Amino acid sequence: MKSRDIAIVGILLAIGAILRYLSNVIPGAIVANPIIALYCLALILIRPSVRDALGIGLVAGVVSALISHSIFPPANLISEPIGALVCVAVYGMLYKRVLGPGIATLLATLASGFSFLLISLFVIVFSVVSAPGESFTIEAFVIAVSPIVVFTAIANSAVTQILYFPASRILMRGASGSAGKGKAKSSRPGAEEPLGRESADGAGTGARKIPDPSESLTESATRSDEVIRFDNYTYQYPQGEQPSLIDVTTTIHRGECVLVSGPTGAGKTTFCLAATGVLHHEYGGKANGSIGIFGKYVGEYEDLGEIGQYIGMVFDDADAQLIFTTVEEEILSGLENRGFSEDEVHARLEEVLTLTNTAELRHRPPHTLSGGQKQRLALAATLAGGTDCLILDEATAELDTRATAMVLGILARLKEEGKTILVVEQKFDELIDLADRIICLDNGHISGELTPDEAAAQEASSDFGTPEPLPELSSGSPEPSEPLVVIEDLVHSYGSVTALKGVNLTIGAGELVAIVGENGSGKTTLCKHLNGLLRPTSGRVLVDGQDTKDVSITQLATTVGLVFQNPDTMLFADTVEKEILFGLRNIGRGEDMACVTTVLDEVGLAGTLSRFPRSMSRGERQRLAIACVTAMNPAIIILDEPTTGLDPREAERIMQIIGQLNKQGQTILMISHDMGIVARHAHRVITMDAGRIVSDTGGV
Amino acid sequence: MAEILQYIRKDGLFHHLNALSKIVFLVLVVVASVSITQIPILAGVVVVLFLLAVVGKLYRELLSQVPMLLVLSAGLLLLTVLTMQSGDVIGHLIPAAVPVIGGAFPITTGALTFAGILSFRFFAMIFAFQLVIISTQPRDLVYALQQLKFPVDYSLMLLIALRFIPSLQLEGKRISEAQLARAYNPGKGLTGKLRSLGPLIIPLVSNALGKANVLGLTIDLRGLRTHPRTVMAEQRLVGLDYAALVVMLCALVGLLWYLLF
Repeated sequence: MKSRDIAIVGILLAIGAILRYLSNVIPGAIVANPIIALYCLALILIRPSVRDALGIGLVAGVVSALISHSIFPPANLISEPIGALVCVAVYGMLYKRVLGPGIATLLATLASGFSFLLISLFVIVFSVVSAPGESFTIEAFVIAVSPIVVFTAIANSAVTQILYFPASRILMRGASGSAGKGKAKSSRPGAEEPLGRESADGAGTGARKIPDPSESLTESATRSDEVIRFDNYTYQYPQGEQPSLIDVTTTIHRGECVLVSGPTGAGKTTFCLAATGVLHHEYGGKANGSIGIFGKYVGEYEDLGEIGQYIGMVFDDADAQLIFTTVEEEILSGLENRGFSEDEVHARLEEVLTLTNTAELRHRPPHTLSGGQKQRLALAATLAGGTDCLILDEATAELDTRATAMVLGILARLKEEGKTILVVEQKFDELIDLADRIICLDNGHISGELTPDEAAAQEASSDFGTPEPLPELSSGSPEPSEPLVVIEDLVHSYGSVTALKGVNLTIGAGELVAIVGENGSGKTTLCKHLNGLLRPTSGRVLVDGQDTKDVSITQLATTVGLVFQNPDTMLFADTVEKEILFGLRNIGRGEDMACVTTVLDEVGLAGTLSRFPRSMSRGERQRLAIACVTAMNPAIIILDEPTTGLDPREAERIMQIIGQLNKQGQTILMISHDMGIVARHAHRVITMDAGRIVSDTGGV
Repeated sequence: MAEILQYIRKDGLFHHLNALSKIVFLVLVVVASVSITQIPILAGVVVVLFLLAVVGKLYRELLSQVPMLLVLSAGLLLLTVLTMQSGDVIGHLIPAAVPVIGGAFPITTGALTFAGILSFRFFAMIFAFQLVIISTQPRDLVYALQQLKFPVDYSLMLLIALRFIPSLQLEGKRISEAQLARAYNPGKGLTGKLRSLGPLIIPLVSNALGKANVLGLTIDLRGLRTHPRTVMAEQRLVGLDYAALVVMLCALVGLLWYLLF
């Protein structure tokens, strides 16, 4: 089984456990078990061997037993493997049938449910056979609880069937896509095919070997000055229609800090994945040319685990890299499998905790950490591996200025220690002092390799951030007029923590206001009071003359729209059209197709009605999220970090849209950490700190 | 929403025990619960578990489970009364005074005794599971399972599931807020839950699966499936564990004596 499959099963079981917890409403001997629906979904998506299916069933049984409120929790250890086996067997027969996932889950739930019931009854009857249970009627008991099993089977079947299509499209596997381990021969006939005459692992005709292949791994890895070397490397993903990297040739030397730059879609992440051996060992696809890592061809390494002894990688999604349940465990995971003695492990743990400023967080679970803390932890866990080379793929993309500065400070210290660092980053200005060299990528090609001075000069003279013009809107720019939002002495507490400490604020119609401040300063808490997601602990909030405590969230949604930082928080439909119609239906305008096309045109997404939202780029998804909100025509639009994670061109495009909406008459509140964007676009800047407004540049 | 299956950091008896000892404890409680058929002894097991929770500074967490357990026990009682007719009749579920259907569903002493046995078993097993879950770091639990020859791939699955439960709970809350902000009102009850399947669960599953790729690569690059691990002191059995194992052995002998004689 691939590691990704293990991750898929673990994640889906977590969701199953949450649903199971929420469904513990049926008292008695048996309760509905949505975990079955989720492990069936996992089995259908990854199609494991029978042995692995039984193993997955056993893990599901452990989770079910731990969370169970049924009469005999250990019965899950037998009933769930039975369910898993039935699911795999049935789906094997119904593979690629539209209703296959639902039917497989239905039968698996029945098998699991009734086997659970029989085991429980057997234990109960067996144990009390000489006690008062002589007259206990098994038939009556089974008849009484059978409807629950049948109902659960139908519900689970619907859940799996509904989730299967979006899940398979996300994973690009199952019946609607294909993927698999690069070296696997079975699932993907095109895997590892060379694009031309040379293969990715250097084994093809004409591939040139890098230094001294006769050396042992350890010798070559430690002595070679060449850390990563690309030779005329071209790569195309298994599902790709064209190469993502084209004829890339470059060498990264020991001790260098190299910044990889370029617009969205230039191939930066693919470059990192190639340099780490992921493309060769995990993704497959088609490749030409060769890649060397510490003096050996990538294909000469047994697996990613072996490459991981020399290269560590930090990804943009920090949360997804945290596997363990405390900060200390996460870092230990990188130390405990390196052959160190126990004393060495403890000494190195303290070193890494100190280097990454995570010592005070050591006992905290990951879900309680901020984005910056998570990214520092991901970096710490990678550093714990003690690799000579570190690759960071947009590791600070979602961080505020302070958190970014902390990560960059760590990188500076690592560079001083002689580590080789490869960084993909949009925050060009902040990294330019750290980099020795900048590799510029564009459409998969290396368009140039620059010194920091050359890159800075080019950056200053480029029009890189200027996006395509958007259609002009008809309305003129209104002057700020009557107060639309009035906040008086607003206090909000989360338990014992006071997040807002007496905020007073007035915002007039037609203003474009930026709210700035460090993480935890109260910006998001303040904004959530405007649409009723939070209610004041004390004080009051008036929106368009109405006290929010007297109005439902549904009613407020017609006046106040909220675009979350991550567009994926709201997107769920299978087409762009349905996504926008969802909000319109909620306010009784479900047939307003003219509105759908208008808002899509306004955000530069005309002609995308039938596209699957999740297949769009991050910038396009952000624009779609804005369109979903503007379609409902609220008087106030709140945008939480609308440009985070976007390249400069896409960020400017978003700001252009926001500016036009403001011209049209809508009042805009924008939370941002990007002071450049705030300076260029906001009419008024409110700064928050520790739950208070500490400065305000204007107001009605 | 309360955090599910989460470790609570405290300095008590259970926290100092090795996860392996706690698994043995769990097995012993389960075996005892299904073997004992006398209500006073089962009640005694529940009381002992509660006293252990007091010693282990975890009694508040167990007490918080009691209301839910009482509700489930009431359901169990109803189910048993409806399906069991043994012993003396001490009343009726529908009083005899009710016209036409009065006197239906007799409540028997056998049904009450049986419901009592099931309820105390229920309390004992849930208390034991709770004590183990909230006092054990998931990593220690996973390591103990590996010592019991649980394959590393499956223990990693379990670890990921336990790790992501609270994160996905928070993600679910954010998604719910995002859809509420779009004027979404699925309603309450079963119909509301079914309606919320698309707008809430689809993004939750989609976002979660979006993490699978990075998570899988992280597992590979850190060599979590392939490299041998250093055994740490806290993963070995200590004096307290041996003492606990001796006590549990005595309890097992007592249980066997009870069953056989």
